[in-house]
Amino acid sequence: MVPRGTATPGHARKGIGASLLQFIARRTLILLPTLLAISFVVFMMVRLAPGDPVMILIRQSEQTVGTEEIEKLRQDLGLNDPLPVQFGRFVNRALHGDLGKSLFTSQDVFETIVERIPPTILLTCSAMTVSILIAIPVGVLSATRQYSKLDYAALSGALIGVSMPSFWLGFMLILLFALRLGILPAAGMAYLDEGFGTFLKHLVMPSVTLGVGLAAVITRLVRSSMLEVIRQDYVRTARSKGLSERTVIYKHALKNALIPVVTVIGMQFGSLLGGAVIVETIFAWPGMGRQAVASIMRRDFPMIQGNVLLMCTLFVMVNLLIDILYTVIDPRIRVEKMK
Amino acid sequence: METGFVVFWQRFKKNRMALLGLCFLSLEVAVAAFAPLLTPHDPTRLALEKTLLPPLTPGHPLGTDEFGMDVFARLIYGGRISLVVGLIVISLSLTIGLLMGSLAGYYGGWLDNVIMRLVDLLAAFPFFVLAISIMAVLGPGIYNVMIALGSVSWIGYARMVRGQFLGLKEKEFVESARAIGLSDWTIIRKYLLPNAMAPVIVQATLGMGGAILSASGLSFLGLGAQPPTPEWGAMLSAGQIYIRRAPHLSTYPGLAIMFTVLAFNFLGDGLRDSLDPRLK
Amino acid sequence: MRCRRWLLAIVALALIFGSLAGCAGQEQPKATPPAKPADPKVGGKIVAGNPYGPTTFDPAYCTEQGGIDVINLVMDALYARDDKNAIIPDLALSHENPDPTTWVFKLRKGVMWHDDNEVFPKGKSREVTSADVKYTFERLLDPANKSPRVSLISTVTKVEAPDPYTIKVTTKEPDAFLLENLPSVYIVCKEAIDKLGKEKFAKAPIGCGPFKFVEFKPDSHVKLVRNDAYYQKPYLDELTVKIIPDQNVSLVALESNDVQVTEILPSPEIPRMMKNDKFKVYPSPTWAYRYASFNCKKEPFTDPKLRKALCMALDIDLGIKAIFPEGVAIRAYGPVPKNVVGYDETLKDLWQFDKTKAKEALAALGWKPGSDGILQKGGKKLQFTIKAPSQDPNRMKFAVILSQQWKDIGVKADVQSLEWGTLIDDMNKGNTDVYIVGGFSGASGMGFLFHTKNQGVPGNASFYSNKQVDALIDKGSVTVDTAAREKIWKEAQRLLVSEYPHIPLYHEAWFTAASNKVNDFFAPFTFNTSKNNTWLTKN
Repeated sequence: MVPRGTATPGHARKGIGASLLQFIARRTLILLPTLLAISFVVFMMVRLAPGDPVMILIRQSEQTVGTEEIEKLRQDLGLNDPLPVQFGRFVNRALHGDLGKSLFTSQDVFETIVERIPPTILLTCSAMTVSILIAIPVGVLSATRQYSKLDYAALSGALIGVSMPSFWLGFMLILLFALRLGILPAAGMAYLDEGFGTFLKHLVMPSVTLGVGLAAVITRLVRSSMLEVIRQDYVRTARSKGLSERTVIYKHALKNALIPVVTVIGMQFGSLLGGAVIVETIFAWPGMGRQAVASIMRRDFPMIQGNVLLMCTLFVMVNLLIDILYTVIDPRIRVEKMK
Repeated sequence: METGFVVFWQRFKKNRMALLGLCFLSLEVAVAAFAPLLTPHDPTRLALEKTLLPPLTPGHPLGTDEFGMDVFARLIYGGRISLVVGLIVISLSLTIGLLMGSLAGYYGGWLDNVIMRLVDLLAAFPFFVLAISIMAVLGPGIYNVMIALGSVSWIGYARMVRGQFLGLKEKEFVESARAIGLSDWTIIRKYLLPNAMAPVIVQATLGMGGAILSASGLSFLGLGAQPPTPEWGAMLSAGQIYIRRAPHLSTYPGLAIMFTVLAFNFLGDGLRDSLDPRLK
Repeated sequence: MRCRRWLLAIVALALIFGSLAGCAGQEQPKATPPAKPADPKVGGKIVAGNPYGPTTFDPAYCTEQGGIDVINLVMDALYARDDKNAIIPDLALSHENPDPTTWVFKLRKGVMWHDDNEVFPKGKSREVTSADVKYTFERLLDPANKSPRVSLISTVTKVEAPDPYTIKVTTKEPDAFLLENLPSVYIVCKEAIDKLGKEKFAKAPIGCGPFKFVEFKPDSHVKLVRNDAYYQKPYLDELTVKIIPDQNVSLVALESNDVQVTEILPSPEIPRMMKNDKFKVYPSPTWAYRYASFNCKKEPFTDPKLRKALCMALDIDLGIKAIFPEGVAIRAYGPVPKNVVGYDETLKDLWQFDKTKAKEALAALGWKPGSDGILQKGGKKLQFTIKAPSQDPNRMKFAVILSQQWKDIGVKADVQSLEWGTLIDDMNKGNTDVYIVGGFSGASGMGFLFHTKNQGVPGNASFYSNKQVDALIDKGSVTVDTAAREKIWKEAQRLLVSEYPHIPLYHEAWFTAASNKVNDFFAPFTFNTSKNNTWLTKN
C-alpha cells in the first residue's frame, strides 16, 4: 500500500472530474439489470416455496370460503396467471414506482416498506458507529503491542461480542440494564420529538447488540492494516525525524491504515441489514428486517419482492457511495478504479 | 514443504490464544465423539416426570430441561450436531467457492465475467434474509439449515481464490507446467490451489464459528433444528422462555456456542498471523 | 445591553416555540372547571404492551388480533364482550326477534362520532344513527369490497333503518350465530371512508368509541387519547399501545414499568407473576382449542375403532402437566371450550388412558408386533407422520410427546415440523396423517371443523364426514334460542367425539398481566365497555 505522499500527475488530475461522472454513470447503469436479476431470483424462489398465500389468508380469518370463492380471490390477486405474465406485470409496475399491494393488508407495498427504512438505517448506522468506536482503539492497541497481554485482552474483548448469538446477547443486556438496573428501556424505538435523551436511551442496547459482531471484523482489519503500515519505510522515516510516537501512529500510520477499512465497512453494511432481523425482533424495533421475515412466513409475494428489492437497492447504493468516497480519499485508487 | 510447515508451527506456537483455541476445540471434538461414554442418558428420550430439575441434582449435573431430558447429555450430543453443521456448511461453501473462484481466475474472459456477476448478485442480498427465504422453500430442519447456509456463504472464498489466481497464473512455474502439457485441471489442482489456500484456510476457520452462529439464529426463528434434536441454538432459543425460572436451560448452550465460536476465532486469527508471509 | 435584550427575546421565543412543538400532535383533554371536587380516578396514562403488529385498522379488512385490539378501543359495535365472554350491550341497547329471521335492534342515543380530525372539525361532529349501522353492514356485504370478514354476517339479506335509533336486519334463514358475531362488526361512518379513502382510513381510523386515534407508527406504537364526548367517559387521559413481539421482553418492560400492561405472559412466568403482589394476572375470557387430528380419509385412519385404540395409548394429562404451569391450560375432551355454548364436561367419560387396553384393541384389529417391535398388519407397518407448525413451541412439544407415547406401544410416529404456510398447504391437499393445530374455538367453530361441506382448509382438514352430525350442526345453526342450541350442540359433539376424528389436547387461555395500579381492567385488552372503565391508582 503506497502512502499518500505520492502526488497524482498533473495531467491525470485534469480528467478526474469527468471520469468520476463516468464512473458514477457506469455503476448506476449496472444497477438496473442487477435489480432485475435479483427480483427474478426472489420471484422464482418464493413461488417455489410450498404454501399458498390465499390459503394462509383464509385460515387466519377463520371463515369458510367455498372453492369457487377461493379461486375467484386467487384470480383477483392475479395469482392464476402464468408466471412470466406475473413477473412481467411486476417489472412493469415497478418501473413506474408501483410495487403493488400486500396480499394480506391490501396496503401499498412501497409505502409500507418505506415507513420502515428510517428505523433500519438509524439502527444500522448506530451499530456501525459502535463497531468503529470499539474497533479502532482496540485494533491500534493490538497492532502496536502485538502479542502482549494487552493485545490478547483487547482482542478477546472484541471477539466475545462476535461469538455470542445476538438474541442471547440482546436479551442478557435487557435483563441487566432494563430489569436489574432499570436505567435503560426494555424495548422499542423512541422518536426525536420525545427528547434526545430518550431517543438515545432506546438506541443504545440494539446498536450495541448489532454492532459488537461487526466490531470484531473491523478490529481485525484495523489491526492487520496497521501492522502492515507500521512496517513501511515512511513510518520509520517519520520516527527518525524525531516525531513523537503518538503523532507517528495517529497522524501518519492510522490514516493510511484506514483506507481498506472503508471498503469493508461498505460491504459489511449488507450483513448489518440482514443481522438486524433478529435484533429488531428482540428489541421491538420497527425496521425492515422484521417486516421481511413476517412477509416470508406469510408468503406475501408482493411484500417479499418489494422488501428484497428495496433492501438490495439500499445495499448497492451504499456500496456505490462508499466507492465514490474511497476514490475521493485516495487519488491513486480513483485512477485505478476508473480504468 | 516440510520447512514451510515447521516455520508455520514456530510462529503459531507463539500465539497463546491460538493455542488455547486449538486445545479447546480438540477437547470438544473428543467429548463429542465419546459422548455415549460420558453420559448414561439418552438425549432425546422424554421423561415428563422430572422436568426442569436444577443443576447439581444427583444424576443430572446440569439439570433437566422442559421435557425432562438431561442437559449435560444434550450439551455434549449437541456438540456433535453443532460441529457437524459448521463442518458441512464450510465444506459445501468451500467446494462451491473454490470451484467458482478457480474457474473464474484461471480461465478469465467471459467465464470470469459470468461468475463474478453471479457473485455480485448474491453479495447484494442481505445474507440472513436470503437464508430465510431458502429455508422457506426447503422447510425447517437441521439438514436444510446446512444446505441453506452452505449455498449462500461461498462468495467470500470464490473472490479470494480468484484474486490469488489472477496473481499466480502468470508466474513461471505455471508456464512451464503448461509447456510440459499438463491438463488445466491438474495445474489448478496441484500448483495453483495449494498456493492460494492460505487465506482461504483462515477464512474457513473463522467461517465455522459464523456458521454455528447463523444456525442458532435460524433456530431462534423456529426454522432450525426441531425438537427433540439437541442442537445448541435450538436449546438456547427454547430455553429463553424459561430464563427467569430455569436459567440453566439457556445458559449452558449459550456458553457452549460462545466458547466454541471464540475458539474458532482465536484459531483463525492465529493461523492468519502465522501463514501471512508479509508479517514479521 | 442591546445584545442581552435580543438574547432574552430569542430565548423566550425559543421556549414558546419549544413548548408549542411539544404540545403539537397531542390533544389535551378539555380543561373545564369542575363543578365538584375532581374524581380521584380521573387522569393518567397507560402504556400497554401488545405482541401483535397491527397493519390495518379498517374493521372490514382486519383479521389480525393486533388490529382488532386497537379497533376495539377506537370503535364501538352493536354489542361487546365482558371478561366472562358474555355478550353485553354497546351501541345497541336491546334486541328482539319478531320472527326467527328478523332482528330489531334499539340503538343508544347521543353517541357522537370522534371530532377534531380531518373529517369532523372540533365540535362539529354528528350523532351515530341507524344509517351508519346500515352503511357498515352493507359495506361489509358488498362483494365489490371483497371483505374477508363478510362471513360474520353472510346470512343477512336486508338491512333497514326505519328510524334513527332502530335497525332492522333480515336474514336468509335463522342465524344462531349472528349475535355472537356482532361484537366483531364495528360501526364506521360513511363520511370518514369517503373523505379519507380506504387506505388512509385504515391507518388513521375514526370511530365512536371510548378513545380517539392520535398516531400510528408501524411496528412501534399506537397512541390514543380519551374521547371526552363518549357516553361513558374513560378515566384515562391517554393510552399507548406499544408493540413488543417478544413476550419475555414485554414482561421485562412490565417489571421495569416501561409498560403497565402486557397482553401475553410467557407461560413459565405465570405462577411467579401470580404470587407477585405488585402485579395482577388476568386469564383471558376465551379459551383456545388445540388438537391433534387424524386424516380420516387416509388409511388406516378411516376406521374409528383404530382411532379410538390409538387415543387410548396417550397420556394427555401428563403432557399438559409437563408443558404448562398449573391452570394455564385445561384438558380438552371435546372441541367446544369453556365459556362457549355447548361446552360439555361429561365428554370426559369417552376418554381413558390405558396402554394395555390400547395394545389389546389394536391386536383385536389385527395389528401385531413385528420383529422390530413395530405393529404391523398384513405386511404393512403402523407408521406415520405427525405434522406440527414449527413456530408454535407448545404444539411442537406435544407432537414430540405423542410420538414418544405411541412409540411405547409399538406405533412409529415421526414428528415433522413444518412452516405454517407449508402445513396449511398439506392440510388442504389431504397430505397429512396426523397433524396438530388449533383454532375455531368460537360458537360456530364446530361447524367449521366437522361439517362435510367444509372439508379441506380452512376448517375440516380432518376430512371427517358424518351425515347425522351434519344434520345436527345444520339444525343448531338456525336455532337462535341459546338453550335449545346448547342441547343440539352437545348432542352433535358427543356423537362426533365418540368417533375420534380429533384428539382434543387442551384448551389454553392467554394470561395478561398488569401493574396493580391498573384497576377495572378486562383481559386481554379491554379498557372500556359498558361494564368496565379502567383507572389508575395514583400514589
